[in-house]
Amino acid sequence: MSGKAPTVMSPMASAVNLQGVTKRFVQWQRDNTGKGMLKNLLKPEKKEITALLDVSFQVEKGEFVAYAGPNGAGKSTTMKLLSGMLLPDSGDIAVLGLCPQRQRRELMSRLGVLFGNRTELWWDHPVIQSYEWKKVVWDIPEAVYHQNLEMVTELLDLGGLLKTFSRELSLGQRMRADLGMLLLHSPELILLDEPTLGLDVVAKRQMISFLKKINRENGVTLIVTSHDMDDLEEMAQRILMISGGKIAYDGSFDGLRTMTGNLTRLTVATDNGFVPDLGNGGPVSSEKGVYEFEIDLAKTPIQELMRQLSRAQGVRDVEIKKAPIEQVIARLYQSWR
Amino acid sequence: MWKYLKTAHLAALEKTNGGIIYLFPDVLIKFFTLIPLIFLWRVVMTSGVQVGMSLQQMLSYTVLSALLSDLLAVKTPASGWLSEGVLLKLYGRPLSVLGQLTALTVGGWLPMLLLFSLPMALMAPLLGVRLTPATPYFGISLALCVSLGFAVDVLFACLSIKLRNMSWLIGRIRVAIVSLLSGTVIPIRLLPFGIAEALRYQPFASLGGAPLSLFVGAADAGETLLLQILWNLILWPFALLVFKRSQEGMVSYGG
Amino acid sequence: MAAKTTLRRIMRLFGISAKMDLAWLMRDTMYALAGITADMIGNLSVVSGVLLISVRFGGIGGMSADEVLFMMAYSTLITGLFIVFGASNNIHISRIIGRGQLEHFFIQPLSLKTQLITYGFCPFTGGGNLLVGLILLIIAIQRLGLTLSVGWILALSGHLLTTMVIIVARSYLASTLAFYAPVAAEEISSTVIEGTWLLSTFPLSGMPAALQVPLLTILPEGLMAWFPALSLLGKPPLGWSAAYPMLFALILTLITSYFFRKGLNYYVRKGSNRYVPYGFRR
Repeated sequence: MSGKAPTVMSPMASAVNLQGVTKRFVQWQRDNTGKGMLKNLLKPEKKEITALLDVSFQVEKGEFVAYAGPNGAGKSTTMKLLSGMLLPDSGDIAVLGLCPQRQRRELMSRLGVLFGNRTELWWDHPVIQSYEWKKVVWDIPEAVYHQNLEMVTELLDLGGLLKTFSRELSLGQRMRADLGMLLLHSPELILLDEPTLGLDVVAKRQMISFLKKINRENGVTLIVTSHDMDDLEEMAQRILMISGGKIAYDGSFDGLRTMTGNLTRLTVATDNGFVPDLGNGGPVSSEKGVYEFEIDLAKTPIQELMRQLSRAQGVRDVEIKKAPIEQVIARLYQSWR
Repeated sequence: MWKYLKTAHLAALEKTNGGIIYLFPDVLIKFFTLIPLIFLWRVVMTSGVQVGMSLQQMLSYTVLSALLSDLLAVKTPASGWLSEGVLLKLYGRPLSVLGQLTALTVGGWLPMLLLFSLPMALMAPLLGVRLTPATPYFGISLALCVSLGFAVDVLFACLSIKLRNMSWLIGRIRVAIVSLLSGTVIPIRLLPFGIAEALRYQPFASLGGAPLSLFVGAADAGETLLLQILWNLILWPFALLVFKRSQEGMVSYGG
Repeated sequence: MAAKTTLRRIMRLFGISAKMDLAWLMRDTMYALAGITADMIGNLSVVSGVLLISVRFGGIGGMSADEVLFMMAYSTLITGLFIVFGASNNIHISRIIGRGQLEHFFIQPLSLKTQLITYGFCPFTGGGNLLVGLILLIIAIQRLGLTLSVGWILALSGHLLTTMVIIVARSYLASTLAFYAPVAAEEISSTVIEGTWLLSTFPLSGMPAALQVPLLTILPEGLMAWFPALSLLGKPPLGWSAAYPMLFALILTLITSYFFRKGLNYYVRKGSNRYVPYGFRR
């Protein structure tokens, strides 16, 4: 695999270090008309897609980073670049101080990668058989294997699943079993692409608390992509947002709220049909005397809001909540279109 | 009818969308298998052993078998698709499932008929092979063979629904059985040790081997057609019954 | 933990594949036995046709029926080896490439080569044809009155290995197309290898040299069983050296290696926009 990435990386480097990475793809365009088919035969039409454009970011060891962006923003491409499955067109990538493309084998013994829509389990074997296969292929020392097996069995509640055929697991069980397998070689860095895809509420809770635990207690660095922003906010301390192939935001979730106008949800319950006037264009929803307002605290400071509420007639109850992160992000995505 | 034609059209396009160039390995392999096969028959048929068929008949039999291979042993997408759960799609469309399978199968034949069969048929005289039927009953026999092929395919597909995980195994066994017992590769009447007599009346013999034998004039039209009609009358009701019973299993396949 | 690829490690990897194959046989016995049966019926339907013709016509093109039997035994042994070492699409690599499943291999701390060699090893469920091949071989040897020697057995092993190398190289060369056209070329390996399997069982003896030569060079079906079988019987065809298949295997391997690397490079630069889960680790 030839490439532009340097072979020697700093051994003391961050968990992940991307410098000026660009990745473009070509999509073949197809026409359904007879003329189009003939044209396709002679000179196929191509369309260039820029998945990543001069992207740079670092992730330090022990961090838990959410990697988000709209569909087609370049999230999976980044994950594939980090795990050596793809070669960048330009720029440098270092993961755990190694070059993923040139030192793939060394890196894979320290890295864990899981794509939510794929499984690494052997379909026609019980889960434990896949684990034993992994022990041999990853050359995991016996003691480490047993220690990790015990840990994942307990934390992921795998006791009842180990002897079950992978093909018979539900999606949530399969994800748990896959995660357990991922951890058997004690990875220092874990890349998870959409791990909560299709999971029910209980399975999602289990996964989130597990990931938080291994990050907190074992110091494992995690980079997780998901479309479920509430999940990401609960897990990660930092969010990297990508849009149109560029990093659009890098910081905390609260910082993201501030950036989008520090949106706040205010719910006001009133008596006798009074409609509170908060001077911001009216409520976004109302039902049986309960009105919901969207307030931008950057424009209307909290003191001013309280003053307006105290002046309003018939107010029976007030509740102020941060706007759901989903809403903040949706507003951002729309602004990027 | 237009809906089925459109479905067949799409099935034909599906094979060529990636580029006609990717069909050429198939065409070349068919071609390069056929040529040595012609020579193989030339070698053995000139050995002096009498087998009740002339060299000319044998060559016509072999070439026509290659040209019409898809029609002589029908394979619909049903059995293959079950393992991928794609058959469910057919139930989501306002068309009959068997009708769609027929349209998809016939559509799938077209690219190879155009890219391989047509040029080879034109080239046949150059190889010293005559492609004119010995009897007009060949057309009827071919139609009965295709019809029976669909029934056999439906039965195999239902079997793969029943045995689920084993669908690919059934596919393999079916190819092996059909290729040997239908007489499309080696005419049944050429088999030694009395096997020819034993295999003459089994249902697979009414597939490819029957129209091919009529084409070259190596079989009695009355007896061959009668057997083909008989097996159609037996296997179609049976296939429809089994298909009906398997529908529930088909829809729930893949969980 | 990225251990060096030593012979011991490769043996361990073969070991775990064999262990998993045995485990499957013991757990899903009915399915596994059905699989073994299907493999054997599939092969027998191919070789029996030629064998029956040779019996009916008292040989083919100067080869006696017993010599044809010996050739069919060789072909069956090759089928057996193909299944024993390539049951997980690791020989039909176009399926893995075309389905976007190569990415599963990238996340293992092993070289791609090591993974592909050891991954599909299934001596228990895949050994049916190997056994049938051995039985046919013993019968053919007895009927032909051949005297076995260490040298002859080594020559047989060498020919079998060479034929396998040619099969794998052909498959990988054709599969290179799947890097560029994953959907269209997903099945190209099976088209090239299994589509020509029947042709590879044809005794080419008695055919014109104008046909034999292309089938030993351009489309090397004659090297799959006919040439090695006759070489082992002490009469290599066309007066060519019995070592010819080895030379062919070497050249083909070099060509394949060059194009496959190019394809792999393309794959890691352009990526695969396709992923289908079926057929993976089943």
